Amino acid sequence: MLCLALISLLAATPPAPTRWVTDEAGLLTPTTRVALDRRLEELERSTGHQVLVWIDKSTGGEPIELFAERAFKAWRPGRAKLDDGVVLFVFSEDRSLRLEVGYGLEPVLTDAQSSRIINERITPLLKAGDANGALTNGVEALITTLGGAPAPPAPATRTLTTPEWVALGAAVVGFLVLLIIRPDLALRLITLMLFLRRGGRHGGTGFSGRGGRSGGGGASGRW
Amino acid sequence: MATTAQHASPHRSSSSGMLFALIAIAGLSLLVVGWAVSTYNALITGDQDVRSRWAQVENAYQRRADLVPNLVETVKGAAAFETKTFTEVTEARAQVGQVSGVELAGVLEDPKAFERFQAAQHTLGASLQRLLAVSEAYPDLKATANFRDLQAQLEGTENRIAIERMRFNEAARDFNTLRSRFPAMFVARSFGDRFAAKPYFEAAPEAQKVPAVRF
Repeated sequence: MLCLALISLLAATPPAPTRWVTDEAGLLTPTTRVALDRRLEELERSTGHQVLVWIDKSTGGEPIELFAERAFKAWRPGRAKLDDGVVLFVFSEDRSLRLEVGYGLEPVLTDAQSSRIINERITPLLKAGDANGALTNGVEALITTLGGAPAPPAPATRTLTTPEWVALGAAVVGFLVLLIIRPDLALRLITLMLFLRRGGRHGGTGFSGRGGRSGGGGASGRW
Repeated sequence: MATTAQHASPHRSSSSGMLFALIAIAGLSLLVVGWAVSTYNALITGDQDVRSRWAQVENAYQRRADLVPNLVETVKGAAAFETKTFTEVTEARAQVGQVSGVELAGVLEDPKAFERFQAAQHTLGASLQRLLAVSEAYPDLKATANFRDLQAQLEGTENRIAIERMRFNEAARDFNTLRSRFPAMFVARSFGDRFAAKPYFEAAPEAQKVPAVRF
């Protein structure tokens, strides 16, 4: 266990994926990959859960459970307090796969269910050589299992408290003073703030982790 | 007039010198106290991290212990004659129940208690592996959905245990580093046992892996 931990420290974690379905091994046809990607993007939009598919050739000798734990910790799929992320890892040369489930979805997607999805929906088709069918089946099974849980309501907008009003007032006054004394600096400040806003977290396309965590729940399989 | 002037100035400079020294000492003391307070808070935070990680480890182990009765019953259904294995598992679980009861409160402070906890959990893990190995010989058992589910749950639990142990060790390492560093060690030691070093989970003598039984 200790030397496995050392090995995992030395191995690099791949960078966070930008799409819901990533296929580094060319296992799927582009049509399937795009279709599954859309399904999972839709799932996130309607329920908020972030489900990813990560396909690569090999973990490089590392047990898939350790790789999955590290990747999940680095990518953080799922929302911060809800921990509703799931990643399906598939390694085509190792012929191993794993469903890593975030804390929040463990009651819905139990270890037993993950194992069933893997052994009944995915591996039989992988053994038969039909990777597209296998992954499509797997994703559909995941969506069905997870689809029941509705997205929580958006957080209510809150009004400012008194100290916050005071601080806001002071900032406005300060800015006006700056505008009078040094208009060029004030102008720079405005452009800087606008630039920061644009680079904010309002990315509409692509996946980005929202701080979810996992504790090792899920199941592994081989074919 | 010259004499009074001469007489006045050394008196003034020595008193202002003393004042300056007092201010300097006061300033320095404030800095030291400030540093000590922030170090204490960092130690407290580190200690709490370790404790919360420990709670996770306990959860994961408890999950495994909870699976045992169901697993034993299921296997007994198909393999009634393997009484030795069942007894082993049941006894190991009882042993785990003992070390998890009253003793658990002080297990992070007492290295011997920690040792006992680890040993009991390891014994349970080993006997569960043997139970699964025995089940291999009963294809009817392996085919039942119930057994497959239990097996999946057991594998998942073993994985969780491994991960929570790893995370606990990380938190313990961070805390132990914090408390041993110079000059933070002075703050740590001045509170007696409050910030004693935390134990680590050791690898078992035989490498214990996730039960590798797969279909």
